[in-house]
Amino acid sequence: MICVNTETVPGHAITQNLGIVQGNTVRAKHVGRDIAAGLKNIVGGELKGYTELLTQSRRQATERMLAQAEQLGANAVVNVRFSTSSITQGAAELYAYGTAVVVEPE
Amino acid sequence: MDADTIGDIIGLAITAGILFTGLFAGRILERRHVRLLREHEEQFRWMHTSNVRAIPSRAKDPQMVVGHVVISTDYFKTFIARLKKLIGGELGTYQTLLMRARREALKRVQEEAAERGLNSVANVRIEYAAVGGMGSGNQKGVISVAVLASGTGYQDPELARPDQQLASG
Repeated sequence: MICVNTETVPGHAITQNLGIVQGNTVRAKHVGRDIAAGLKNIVGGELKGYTELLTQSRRQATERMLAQAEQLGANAVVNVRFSTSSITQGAAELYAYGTAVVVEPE
Repeated sequence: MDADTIGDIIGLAITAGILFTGLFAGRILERRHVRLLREHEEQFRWMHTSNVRAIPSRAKDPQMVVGHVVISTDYFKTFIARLKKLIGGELGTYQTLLMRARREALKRVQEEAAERGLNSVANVRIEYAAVGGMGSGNQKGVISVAVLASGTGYQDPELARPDQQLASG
């Protein structure tokens, strides 16, 4: 499955547009991570626990989006975008969306 | 001295201790981070990175490359920023935090592209994720910023990687 955030796939022609596909995940960080982040906040720097959480969420959202595209019979997703929203204190949603298409090599 | 005064003094001492830890350790960590970022940017100058949407049709192997980072400011800077907010104006401490986060996310995008054997990244987008303190409206929360950079990595046959350039002289 080709997955790009441009409108076209280089070297390929889009033959069919199958509509928007999307995947999301809402995740919370656990208390231990919060405490670790609070301590890290004294000296500043990267909060690795949160970065990891974000990476996992992004992967999961992308996987769900690709699964949906596959179900539609697409072989590529173009114009992929990520967006986030904080639904409640301590939890965040990561949302991935794109357009499922069928492409053929030119 | 009564117990209350002693308690106050201990409390003050702890706060001062945290402030100084933040001041020194934070400064060292930040300088190291900026130095690493500069080194990386120097090293990856060969990689064609842009936020232009168009990809040349000769491009091969297009795929998403993503980089994340969550980074927090130190306690001393948070303290200074809180004071600064009383009089308003530019909050330099947060400015550097945001810049560092963006540069780090871009760095990870380039690293991921290089790891996959690609030599260019187009259509780079930078977004902010709501994690931790930022956007949650919590004054006492951890002041942190989460950045998510994504782009389309591809192999441009006309652009040589530096190791290939070295080999050819």
